[in-house]
Amino acid sequence: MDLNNTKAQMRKGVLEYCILLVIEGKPLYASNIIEELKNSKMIVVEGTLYPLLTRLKNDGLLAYKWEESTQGPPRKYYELTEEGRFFLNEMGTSWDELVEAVRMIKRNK
Amino acid sequence: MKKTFTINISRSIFHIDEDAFEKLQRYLQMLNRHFGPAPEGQEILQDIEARIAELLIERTSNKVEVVTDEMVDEVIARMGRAEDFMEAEDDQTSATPGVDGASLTGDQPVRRRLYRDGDNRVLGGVCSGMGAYFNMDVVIIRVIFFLLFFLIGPFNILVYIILWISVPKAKTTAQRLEMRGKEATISNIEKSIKEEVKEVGDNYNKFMNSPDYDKGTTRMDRLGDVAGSSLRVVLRVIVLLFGAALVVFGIASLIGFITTMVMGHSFLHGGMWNFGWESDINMANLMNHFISPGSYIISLIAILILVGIPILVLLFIGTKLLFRYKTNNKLIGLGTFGVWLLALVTLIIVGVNQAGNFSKQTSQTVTQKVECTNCKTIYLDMNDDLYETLIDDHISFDRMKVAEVNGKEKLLGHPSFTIEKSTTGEFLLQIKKRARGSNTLDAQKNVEQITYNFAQKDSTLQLDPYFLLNDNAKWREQEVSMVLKVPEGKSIFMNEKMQSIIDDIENVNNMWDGDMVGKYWTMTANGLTMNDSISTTVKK
Repeated sequence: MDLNNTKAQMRKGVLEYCILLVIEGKPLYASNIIEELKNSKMIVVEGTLYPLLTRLKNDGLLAYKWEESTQGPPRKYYELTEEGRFFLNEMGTSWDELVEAVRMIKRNK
Repeated sequence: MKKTFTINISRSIFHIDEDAFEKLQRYLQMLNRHFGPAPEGQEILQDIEARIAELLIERTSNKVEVVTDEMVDEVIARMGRAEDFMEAEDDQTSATPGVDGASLTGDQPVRRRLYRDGDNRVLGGVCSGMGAYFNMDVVIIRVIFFLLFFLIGPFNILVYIILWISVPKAKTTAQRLEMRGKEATISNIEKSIKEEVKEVGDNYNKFMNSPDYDKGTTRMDRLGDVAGSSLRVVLRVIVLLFGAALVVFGIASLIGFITTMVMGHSFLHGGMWNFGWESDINMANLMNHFISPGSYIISLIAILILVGIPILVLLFIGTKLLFRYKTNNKLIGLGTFGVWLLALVTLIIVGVNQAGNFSKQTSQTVTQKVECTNCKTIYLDMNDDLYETLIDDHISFDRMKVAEVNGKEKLLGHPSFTIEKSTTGEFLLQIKKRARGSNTLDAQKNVEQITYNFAQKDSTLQLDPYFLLNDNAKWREQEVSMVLKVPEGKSIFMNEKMQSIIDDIENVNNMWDGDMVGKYWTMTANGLTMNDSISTTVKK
């Protein structure tokens, strides 16, 4: 079994959850989101974030508004929709359950 | 010294040196191939381009600084290389549909495609796009387009509109690069075909020299490669020729069709319906003779759509094959098809409706006595044909003709004439007028539109060669048939002119209608008999 591949798969599984988590507080510009995700080593290259953002937006979990930027083109600021907030809550619950499950199994060894 | 280009990414201007330009071009090209096919692909590309522009602005502290190879490398490292995207694609839930890995490495030269150039547009950017495609100054293209107006008139406006609708606008930088990509000159096409021919040869050699020459599966694979690449070359050539043929054919039919519909008098001659004759009759007026005016205009528009749309589709496919532009506009396609269907349905409804005008037939018979108490023979003569020179020879509905009388069109027709035995011992002329209509009353009204004249002078019956319809009467299969009842023992003589109206006269001599004129005929107990034959039988 390829360890790197498995790691990558696991990261991808929670990547969407992480994006929603990052955006939760306030409207964010893609490069802010990228900073957060890079710091926590969730993504390596920025290019992979854009398809995900577009898909989450098309699924109705995210919305964006244009804001003028002092340097360069206007920026898209993403924020959670009602649906996105609900989705994030649900995912949070199931994430906690997963973590708890793993922790229990480890402890009972 | 290095060459620099000025490029526009996401509406920001950059000066970029040649190497960096080519690298960036290949990178954007790769992104376009990767994301382009997905429905949300353009949006993703625009986002990524906006980000690239921003990263480059950060790196070029002032507007004068040139973007270098290293800067592009840095940006690519941040945004991700082809391999990074391919890795992301392993994920089944990824929104980007797969493109085969080889094409993602982005080493191929950028192929040129036709786009509309929104940056240099006057109207829709069609001319500027063409300029980029043919590597010509836009001004020259515009002048050519303008001059074409004198050659093919308003068709170039039509062509412009077709291209405007069907050719996509270059939105992303990748598309703008494609717009100015490797020139599609004859020599380039030739070169790419040659390359493919070489590939065929290589594949063939590989196949022949392959160590596992006799291993069934590999052999089949290699054979497939050879066949595949030769087929591609042949197909490419066929597609180009086919595209050119479609465009030429499409333009020709369009010109023919529109000319005949709009500028000519009728759509029945010229273009695709060239029956080899010319007519001075105005189609609109002509149609008025048998279709109600409203339905005529509706059906004309329906025909225009019904025939015009397939021609436009031909043109569209042809230009698409030639210029290889992409289109994603399903809405326009479906809409066009819908309009076409609507036209078809309209035409059928109008047709059924019009056919309803012919559903009932009625007739009216008038019998008149022909005075011949003392005479032995009635001479049948026809009045002079006043309309002969006025009749349009090209048009006839059944037996009816159209004549132009003092600038007005008049419908007229030959009556039919036959002879039967009279049972009353008197000469009788029976005139039967027939017509059709949507109901019996309507048919009766149409019968009354028929005028037919004849006169008797002594023993001569002067018949009119035509029956006429009153002005504004519609053609409803009007007919006039005459029967002259001849009593036994009496004779008739038919003038040569009668030839045009006599129809199937039964006679003892079994003679053809046309041969019966110019002779004396007598009604005997057996039927109508030629006088000479009577005398011969008498002689015997």
